[in-house]
Formats: sequence, structure tokens, C-alpha cells
Amino acid sequence: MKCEKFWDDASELIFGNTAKWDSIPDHLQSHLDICPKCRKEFMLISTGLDALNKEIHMEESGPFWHSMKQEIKKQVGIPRRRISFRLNFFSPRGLTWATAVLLVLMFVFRWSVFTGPSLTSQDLMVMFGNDPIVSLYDQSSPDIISPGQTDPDPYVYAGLIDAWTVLLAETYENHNHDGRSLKFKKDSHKRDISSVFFYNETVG
Amino acid sequence: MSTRDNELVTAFLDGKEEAFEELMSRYQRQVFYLVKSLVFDSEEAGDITQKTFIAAFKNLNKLRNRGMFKQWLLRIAANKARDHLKTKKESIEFEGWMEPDCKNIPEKRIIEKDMVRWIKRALNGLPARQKEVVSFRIFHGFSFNEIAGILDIKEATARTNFHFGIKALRKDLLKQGSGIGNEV
Repeated sequence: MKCEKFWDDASELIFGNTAKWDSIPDHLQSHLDICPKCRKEFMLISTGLDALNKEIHMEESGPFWHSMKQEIKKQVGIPRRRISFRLNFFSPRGLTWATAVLLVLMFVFRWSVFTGPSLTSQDLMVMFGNDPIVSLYDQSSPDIISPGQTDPDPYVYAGLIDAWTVLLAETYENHNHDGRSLKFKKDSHKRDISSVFFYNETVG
Repeated sequence: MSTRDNELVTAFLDGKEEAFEELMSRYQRQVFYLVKSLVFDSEEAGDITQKTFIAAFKNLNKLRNRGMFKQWLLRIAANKARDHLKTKKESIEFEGWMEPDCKNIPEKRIIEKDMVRWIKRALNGLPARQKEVVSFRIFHGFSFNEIAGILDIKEATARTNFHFGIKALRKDLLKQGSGIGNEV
């Protein structure tokens, strides 16, 4: 075997990994046995690489690693802990959160949502003689003129629009022709329903 | 079963300090020795290792494939070491050849020391890429596939660099070694 061939074959052994030097294949060993130059070179290179490998992997002291790590930590800083928030409305936690959010929203919007009474509430208020919208309408205080009757018995009609229309129509028919004046707004327009819902009727 | 790198990376980004500790204990030495096999100096290797981890942790959120953390980290280390060597003028000086004598231990030590300096000089004379491939292969036993991943090159390129690297290395060693290895 020529020296160049030896080195071509031995390259992977020598330079591939220092761990392989203990087991030299026979065909390479036979060349080393007969070639003092290659043997010397092989020995020198392997010795040098082995020594360099040991030098590179020489273990550093504990404080060396520790101080390096501390410095890295100081420079980097641990990111702020992110809150993992995956709300599952079917879990107790999700329900709690949903309720809390709902309560907060109700509190925030309490003035805009819950201030005005509903139509039904208005009706009830009217029934109890405490209508808040009376002053808003021209015809909010219908005149009830009942000639000859000094102490009229008041009735209050209240209801939703369809029922209103019926009631008002009946009232109009029943009482408008008996010589008494009953004024009310008969508009069925929604806006006016609150102006129509109350009036006093004198039952003769 | 140990936690995977991708899980540790995610945990670190979630602000868990123990993930930082685990990643450091896994790779601190590996990065350090990889860098040291390129710069041959503990202090410089320590500085570069530090810079490597700082750069890695600060840019960890940009790492798309978190399972490739190790490869990504070693690549940063190799790049940092390369940048460092570019700016550093080589000052290793070869002080002559000494015949080996294995019977005399102190003398053997001297020979080893000279050989180490000799090999360092030869390695430092290689182009950066060849030096990286050769060093990673000799001193860390990385496969060509692993080297290709770290250096972001093709495996065939890694093999070629290794082939030409060791050829040039041996040529340099022969030149310095007064004709050792002539054809028999």
C-alpha cells in the first residue's frame, strides 16, 4: 500500500472521531508496521489531536459555569409570565368569569339600560296615579267632563297597543254620544301610546 | 422522561424560570466546547457562549420550529465564533518541530504541547467553513448531517469541506513536519 492510499483510507479514522483511534483496521495497521514515516506521522497527529481534544474538553470549574449563567440571566431576563386564558364557558371557572363580566357590564350600563320604565311599568304607574310621562304630552291630561256628576268614578285603561285601540274605540263609542265630553288621543302610533293610555272615564 | 426542547422553549416564553435553567444546563457546556474547538481559548469561548445564549434567548420568539432549538443554538454559536475570529488576528506561532520520544514522559508532554500548537495553527490556516466542519467532526463527533444542520449547508457540502479540510490540514502538517509521510 502506498502512503497516499494509506492516508486516504486513514483520514476518516484519524480525523473522523478521536474515539476511533483505539481500533485501527488491519490493512491500515499493516502499513503502519512497515512504514516508519507514516507511523511517526500517524502517531504525532493522533497524539496532537488527542491532546488538543482533551484541552478543548477540559472541565471548567463550577463557579465558571455559574457566573456565566447568572450573567446570561441578568442580560436576558426571564420573560414576564403570560396569563394563559382559555375560557371554557362550561367549566366552573368559565361560568364564574362569564358571570363576573356580565355583572360588570350591568353595573357599567345601569343608567342607560335600566333607568326608563318599560311600557308595562308605565301602565302600572299610571294605574297607581303616578305617571312619569304625563307632562311630556299635550294631551297627557285628558279632560273628563261629566256634567251633573261631581264625583266621577275613575277607570284606567291600560294595555298594549292593540288592546288599547280596542278599548279606546269602545270608550269613544260608548261615551262620546251621551253628551259627555271625553277627550283622549286616539292615535295608535307607538310613540303616542303612552299619551293615550290613561284617562279617566266617568261612569254614569 | 425528560421534557422536550420545544416544550422548554414554550415554557421559557411563558415566563417559567425553571425552563431557562433546564435549557442552560442542557446546552451551556455543549455550546462552550463547540466554540472552544474553534477559538481554542477558554476565556474567549466563555464570552462567545454568553453572547450566543443572550442572542438566542432574546430572539427565541422568532424561532419557528422550536424542536430545532439545539441546532439553532449551535448555529448561532458557530456564527458568533466565526465573527469573532474574523476580527481577531491569528497570533499562534509555531516554534519548531521536535522528534517524539515516548519513553521520556516530560519530553512527551512537550511534544504533545508542540503538536497541539501545530495542529491549532494548521486548523486556523483553513478556510472558516472547512475548519468548522473538521473541528465539529474531530472534536465533537457530529455526523455530516448534523454538521450540515448546524452550519445551514447541504450534507454533500459538509462532506466536501471535510475532505478538502483534512487534505489541507495534513498538507500543512507534513510541511511543518519536515517531510513525514513520503511515499514508501
